[in-house]
Amino acid sequence: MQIKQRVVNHVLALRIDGRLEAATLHQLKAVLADDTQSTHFVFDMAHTSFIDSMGLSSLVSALKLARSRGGELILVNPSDEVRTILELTAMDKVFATASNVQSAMEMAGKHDDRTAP
Amino acid sequence: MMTEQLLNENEALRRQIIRLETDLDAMTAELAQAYDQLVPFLQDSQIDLDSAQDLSRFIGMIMSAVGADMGGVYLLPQKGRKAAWRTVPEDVVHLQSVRRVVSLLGVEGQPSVKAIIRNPAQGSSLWLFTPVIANGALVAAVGVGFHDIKRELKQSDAQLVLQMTIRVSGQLVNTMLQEMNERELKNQQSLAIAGDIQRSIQPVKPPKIQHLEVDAVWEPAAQVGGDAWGWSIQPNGSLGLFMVDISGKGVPAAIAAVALHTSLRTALQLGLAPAEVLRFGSLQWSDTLSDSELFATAVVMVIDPATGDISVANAGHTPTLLRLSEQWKTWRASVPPLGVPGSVEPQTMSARMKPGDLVVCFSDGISEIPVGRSVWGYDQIMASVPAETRTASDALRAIQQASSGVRGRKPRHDDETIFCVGFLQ
Repeated sequence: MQIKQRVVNHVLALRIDGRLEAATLHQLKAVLADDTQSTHFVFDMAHTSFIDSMGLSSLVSALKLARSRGGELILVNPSDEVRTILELTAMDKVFATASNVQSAMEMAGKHDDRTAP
Repeated sequence: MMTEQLLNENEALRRQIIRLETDLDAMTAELAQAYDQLVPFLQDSQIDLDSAQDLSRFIGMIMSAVGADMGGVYLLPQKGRKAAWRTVPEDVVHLQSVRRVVSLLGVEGQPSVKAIIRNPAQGSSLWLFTPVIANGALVAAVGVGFHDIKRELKQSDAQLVLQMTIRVSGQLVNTMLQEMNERELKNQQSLAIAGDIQRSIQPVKPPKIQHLEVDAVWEPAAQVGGDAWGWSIQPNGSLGLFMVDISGKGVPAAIAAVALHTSLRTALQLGLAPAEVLRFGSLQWSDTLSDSELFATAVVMVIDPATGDISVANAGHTPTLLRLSEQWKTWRASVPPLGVPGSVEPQTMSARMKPGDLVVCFSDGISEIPVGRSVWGYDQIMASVPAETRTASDALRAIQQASSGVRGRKPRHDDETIFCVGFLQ
């Protein structure tokens, strides 16, 4: 699995390529552990070729982390393999999704506007 | 005029050079003095590393010597052994972050490396790492950390840590290995306890009830998974069955499995319908699961043995497979797993079974058996049951044989749980 990351305005954007599974999810955990500032997470999963139950578990942990910071996790254009698993487990009802990274960034911005005091 | 200006500038530069040279001399003298003071300390102090306590003491000594707030020893991974990272105080910085910094020690023979490491719980900290060399190879690194990331790290700091490390390099590695073994032993004991807990809630026998035949298998993985299944007879005589899979491992996941198992079983005994049983379990345990960084998939079904009416509710669990009148149907989860943020209002799927119809419920340990770079999948589970199969025990045996063939000699990567229900004549 390969993770490319960038941070834009308190949004941590990750492109997750390859297999998100028990053997590789420590990479995602490490990236999230290193990031202390971002409110929102945007995961580009267009090239995530496989996800297992442990991989799903790491997405749930990321979602909880984002929400604990008042933010959201947005999945971008999940691959067919990921989408199938999300639908099978009804997790597609849990995660916000966007068709591209730009839209996801805008969703994060709108979320901030809505929740601003 | 021009010449005079140039002379003045030259004079100014000359004075600045003299001042810098004087400062440098003073700093060199200060450094030499500081180092002279450290030498006796290094020679006199006894550093014997025989146990995990000694390792903490050693880290503490290095921290005191340089006035650090944190310290740690990182043991590089070797063949058949993972990397280890031991800190004082415990778990102050993530191992992955340290791995990245320590990897720089090998670059161009760096004598020490400095880095700012971020940690969600502790905030950013400044770290200095020096190498531990054994038989000419980098085997470990000793680090000291400071909350003040603007702190100036002097050359003497690195030299001091290095000198103290060199004296104990052999013992350091041995002690780390010993501590890793102790931790591994504790981990194994913890997994054994979790395994006992998990085993204790699995039904000893499947239910025997008129018109229904139930057969089941629960095969735990070497590393404990979180599967459990159970059954209960409802006040109206219907059979309630359920399967849960907790996402985590170890004692917390095993305890969560027991708690959820008890809740679902109790709810079934009260005569609740499947969706109500899931709602009951969610109300009782979602917050606890969520706080513990766990979640649980659960599927609950109730079958009336007199009529063959079956109703199923599923929260994030693998699909329930039904072979009704020779046709396979796949009933998927209608809500996410318990413990995942979001409300749980599960839908109920219903059908009437006829004699010879089958229900197959399984955990992801079965559907996710690795096949090359993919997984077995539930289509293959359905395909493994021959069309002429009429009983739950035959269906179970067929699935087991097929899954064993797919897995081969590889160990189970997760718990494998299946129960099959057949509606009899």
